[in-house]
Amino acid sequence: MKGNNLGELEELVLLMVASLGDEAYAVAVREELEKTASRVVNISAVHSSLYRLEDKGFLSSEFGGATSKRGGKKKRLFKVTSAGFATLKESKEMKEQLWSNIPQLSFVNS
Amino acid sequence: MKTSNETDGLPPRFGSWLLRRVLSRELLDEVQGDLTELYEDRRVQHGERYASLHYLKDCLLSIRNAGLRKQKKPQKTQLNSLVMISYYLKIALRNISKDRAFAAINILGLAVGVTCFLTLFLFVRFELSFDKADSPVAKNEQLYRVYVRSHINGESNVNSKTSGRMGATLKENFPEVLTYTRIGYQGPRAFRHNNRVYRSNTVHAVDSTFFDVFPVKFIEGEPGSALTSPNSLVITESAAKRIFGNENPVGATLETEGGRSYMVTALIEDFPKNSHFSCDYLESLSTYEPNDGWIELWYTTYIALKKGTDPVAFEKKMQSIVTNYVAPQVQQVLGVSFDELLKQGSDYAFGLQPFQSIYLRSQRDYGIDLNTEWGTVRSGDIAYIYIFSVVAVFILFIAVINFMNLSTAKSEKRAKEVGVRKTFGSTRYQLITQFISEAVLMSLLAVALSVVFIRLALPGFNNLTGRTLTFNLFSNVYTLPGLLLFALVVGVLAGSYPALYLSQARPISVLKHNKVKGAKSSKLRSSLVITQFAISISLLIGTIVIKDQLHYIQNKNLGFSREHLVSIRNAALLREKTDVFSETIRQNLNIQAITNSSRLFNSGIPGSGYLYNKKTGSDIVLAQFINVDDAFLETFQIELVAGRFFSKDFPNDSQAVIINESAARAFNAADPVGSEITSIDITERGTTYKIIGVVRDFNYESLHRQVRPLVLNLRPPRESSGMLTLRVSSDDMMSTMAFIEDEWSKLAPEGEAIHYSFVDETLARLYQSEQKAGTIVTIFASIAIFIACLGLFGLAAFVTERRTKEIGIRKVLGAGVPQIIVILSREFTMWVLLANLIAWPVSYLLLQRWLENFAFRIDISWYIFAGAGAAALLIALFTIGVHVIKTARANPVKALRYE
Repeated sequence: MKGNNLGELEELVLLMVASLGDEAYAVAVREELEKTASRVVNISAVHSSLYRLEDKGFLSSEFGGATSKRGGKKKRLFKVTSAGFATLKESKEMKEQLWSNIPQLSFVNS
Repeated sequence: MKTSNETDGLPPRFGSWLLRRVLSRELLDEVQGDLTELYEDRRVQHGERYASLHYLKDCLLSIRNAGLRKQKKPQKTQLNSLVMISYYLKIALRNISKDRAFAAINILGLAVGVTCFLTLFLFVRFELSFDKADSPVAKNEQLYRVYVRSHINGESNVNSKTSGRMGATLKENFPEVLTYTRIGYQGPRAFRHNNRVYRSNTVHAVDSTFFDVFPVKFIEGEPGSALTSPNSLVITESAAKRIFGNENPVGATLETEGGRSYMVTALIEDFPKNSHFSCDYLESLSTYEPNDGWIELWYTTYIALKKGTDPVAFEKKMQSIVTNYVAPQVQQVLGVSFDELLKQGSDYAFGLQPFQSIYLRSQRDYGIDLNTEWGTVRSGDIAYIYIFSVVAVFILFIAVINFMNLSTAKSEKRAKEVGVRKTFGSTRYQLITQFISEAVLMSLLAVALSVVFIRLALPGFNNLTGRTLTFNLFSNVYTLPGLLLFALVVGVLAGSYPALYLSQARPISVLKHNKVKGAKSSKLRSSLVITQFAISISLLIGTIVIKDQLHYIQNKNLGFSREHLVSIRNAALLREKTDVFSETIRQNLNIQAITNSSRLFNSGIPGSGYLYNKKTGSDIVLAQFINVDDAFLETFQIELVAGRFFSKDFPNDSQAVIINESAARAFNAADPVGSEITSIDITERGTTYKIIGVVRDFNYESLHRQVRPLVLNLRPPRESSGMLTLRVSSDDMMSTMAFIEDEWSKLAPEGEAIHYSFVDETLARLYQSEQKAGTIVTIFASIAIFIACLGLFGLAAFVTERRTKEIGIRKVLGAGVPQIIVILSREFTMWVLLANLIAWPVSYLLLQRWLENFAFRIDISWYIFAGAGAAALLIALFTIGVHVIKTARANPVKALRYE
């Protein structure tokens, strides 16, 4: 395994799962990515991120219901684990820390 | 968009298939679900085409997820696999002992098949091993024998012998010739040693260069000098043992009865069994006066060409010998120029045949008349090599098919076992290993058994073929590994189908229905059975036709009466007492006639050219000539067509000849009686004879060829080629023969036993090679049918058992036993009938070619095919009959209660 660092897409996906709550499965995550982050990603990329995150222990999953629209196949619903939240938080804090280090000036100029 | 109904339209199958191939089982369902959902969304929004394309794109991109959540293969340790192997072995042995009859059929079938294959393989290998060794001066491929092709007045002859000047002339004229050697023959010899006489027909006179061409191993003496001086004798080991015992013969002097004295200069090993030429003694050719004639073909000539010489080009160059040397002599003898002969369509040419082709291909590829070969020359026939190879491969094929068929059929019963194993966690890999190791074990057992069988079968086979084949597992480095590899390949082939097919069975469906879904196996199996029977039927037809032809030959009207004829083939020993002997035994009332004539029915009947009603000219007719006495016609009971036969009443008959009908036709004479013919034979050049009678054609040679023109002379036969033929009455044959032997011992030289034989038996021996081939093909055809039937038997057991329930239901619904039998046999009948359709044309073509060997042959009639087909069908029905009737008569309650 690659260690517990998060890739950029992985972090986004993790955030999306967190924000989607109970309805976080691959198709929904992809839609949300497109809507809120304007990132058009292929479903296969979402899949690989999700499963990798689960393997790293940042996500947990259970089966959801099947619909005829899905050809009778079940969904896998993901939830962020406490480790996942911890990592997200860590990443957020690190970024905030970095932001705080940036000289104020640049804000004004932009 | 046609409709908004969500369930209408499915995502492209290819995508789904790809996902199934690529993704791990754990992820497949949900990923497919996700993709399907996206597809549906897109379909509703953008239409089917767009959705499909994107679905495919998603699927293709999903390949990146192939590595996700892959199940790791169970870790195997050394210990574990050892345990598994012993476990597979145990299960295999249990399976074999559970159904012993079945296993026995299966193993026996393969073992018999392998035995046949090995036997024929050994035979073919031996036949192909002839004359492969290099000579001391040249590689094997540089060695050739020179032969003569002549075509004179429509009569073709290809002679293995050449003029005695051929070798030396070639060497003088062409630098390509490294060396040459000649083999000649000066008649039988009787050596005296310690007051005993040792007779031999195989004393050949050869050049001193003989050992440069023939790879002979010397025990004593020098190859270079052994035959340089006249009256030298080289003796083989076995001949030396007969005469000298364990003494060293080299340096000894051997006297012959004819007053010759030989000096033994060398002792050589016997000629190898796979050498076309062999003899007991070699004498130096330099002893004899050279013969300068180009027309007399009395020697076989072998040459060694320099490396890299193109034999085809050299053969062309050799033709200059014809114009430079042969043509002048022909002109001298015939009084007609050679060119004129050529203009009339006659031809005369020399040919080269590779040394190693002499044994197998002389007759078939070079058209050489085997009658012109030395009596000791062994000749095989490449055609039989092909026939036996094909039969060997066929039988092996049948046996392997059988083995596969039965293994497959058997394993299908084990679907439930597979289900249970899978439920308990067996992997597919393990199941495959199990099935294959079982099949390999069976094939190993079969091969081991065949090694035993072949040792039992070889003595009989050797007896039949007159070879001395041996089988030794360790004599050749390839034998044992080859057999093991064969067992492995057959085992894997036989095991792979059930292994791959059954191991994919879904446990639930198997456990529920005891059936593997989509069983297409019966198609494979039926085509295998059809192939098997097609081969068996072909062999059966072959057997019948060969037997028929041989029967025809042996009972054909030969133009003379072959029964009750006894010939004394060593009558020449009587010399001047021959007439006394004849007179004496003629007194016996049981001897109806006796004639002294040249030997008939064997090879080497001499021939000559004849001119009809003129002294010189180019329209020569080649005819064979034999010497007879006036009782010839009466003894053989040959019909006289015109004129009269020789008679004591006409003292001038020695200047007269009788010809046969073929000769009359060849002379183009409607009424030849009274005409004259002139011989152009070198020994009696220009002698003119008057034709006084014509006899009906009689077969004085084997029926492989048409009756050729024949001239009968009234003269005592040449010494060493005469025979006395007696017509005896059938009563009291024993005492008649005893009487003859008694008279013989009074007149013949001391210690010479009479050699007599019955003419009908002598004739039968002319077809010995066909007879043997016939017997061999018959044996192997029976074995092929036997193996095929074993297979059918096992298959029938399996099929009927599988249909037990169906039969039960049919019976309950009112089907009678006969109807059930018809239903059960229908499939098998169809198979055999189809096999017939394949076998008929194939065997017809092959046999037609075999029959072309005979000048006198049968027509292959349709009822042979029908008969063979019917026989095969009967055998097949009989084989399956036991099972079919048993199943048909079974109580339906039993069949239906099961479950």
